[in-house]
Amino acid sequence: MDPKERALRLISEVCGVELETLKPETQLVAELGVDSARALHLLVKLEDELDIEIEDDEVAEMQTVGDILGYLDRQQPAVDG
Amino acid sequence: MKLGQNAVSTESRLSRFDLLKVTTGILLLGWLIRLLVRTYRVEVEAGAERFEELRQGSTPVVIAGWHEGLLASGTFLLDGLVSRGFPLALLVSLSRDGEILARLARKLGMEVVRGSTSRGGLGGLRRLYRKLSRGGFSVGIAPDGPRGPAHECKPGVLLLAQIAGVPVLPIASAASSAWRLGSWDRMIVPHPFARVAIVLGQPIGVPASLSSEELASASQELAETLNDLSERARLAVNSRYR
Repeated sequence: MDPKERALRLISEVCGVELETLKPETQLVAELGVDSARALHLLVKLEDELDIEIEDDEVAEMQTVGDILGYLDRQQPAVDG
Repeated sequence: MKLGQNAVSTESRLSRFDLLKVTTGILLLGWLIRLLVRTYRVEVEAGAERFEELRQGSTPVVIAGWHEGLLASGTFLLDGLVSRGFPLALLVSLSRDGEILARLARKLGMEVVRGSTSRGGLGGLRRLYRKLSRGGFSVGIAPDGPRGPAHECKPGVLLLAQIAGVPVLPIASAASSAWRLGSWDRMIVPHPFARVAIVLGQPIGVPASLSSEELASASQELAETLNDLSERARLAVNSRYR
């Protein structure tokens, strides 16, 4: 499965929302209610499933679903494998 | 609002002169601690069987104790576990004080994870999670660290245990005679030749189903458990060595 699809499924699972409702502009904190606990769940699941390690400064820039997908785009060679 | 509120601190950067001072200080402090520890008479007052299980190293755990007992409990873990090859990682803050503690802990054979349980994109917790889930390390955290308030449990410890699917092992200590540092935690430094009582509590499982609110409530219970164990350790040294 495409890493971005897998990421969307994980976001949907962790946040308890339908996959179809997720848009690139969806706000993680304001709309999906991602608090510290959910953020940690989401980040470790992304790292485990996609076999990546997300740097702290990258996490600090993630405000929307699109920011996460954009990050994965930039990591494409690493997560394609 | 962003997923990670604060970028990683750069406080840990030290000037060359500071580095020289720190390195020299660490060598002396490491030597002093090793010497001090050898004079302590450490006794496990409760939970000895849990310590044995831990030593067998079957599954990783999150070892949680108040920051004030970092030295007393830490020397016990150092002597009883780390020196025998037990893989233990310690969470140390990104502050300058943390830099010194990190160097000292590495010098004493521990794995160090820099960060906090809340700052830097949850970096500290994520790195600890990797140690637990991928590295086979147990981890040690002071739930009221790195800056207090003393004896107030932040939810990061239980959250980490929940996500990694490992139990929390509470630990407390007391010494028959000790200095108290002037730091926020009033850290206990047992006097040379002091008797040090260690009390290990029941492992606490953190179900994956617990909500954030339930985790906050469980954190309060962990604080009460640590206070009870600390009192038990104090009673043990007081009754035995009065």
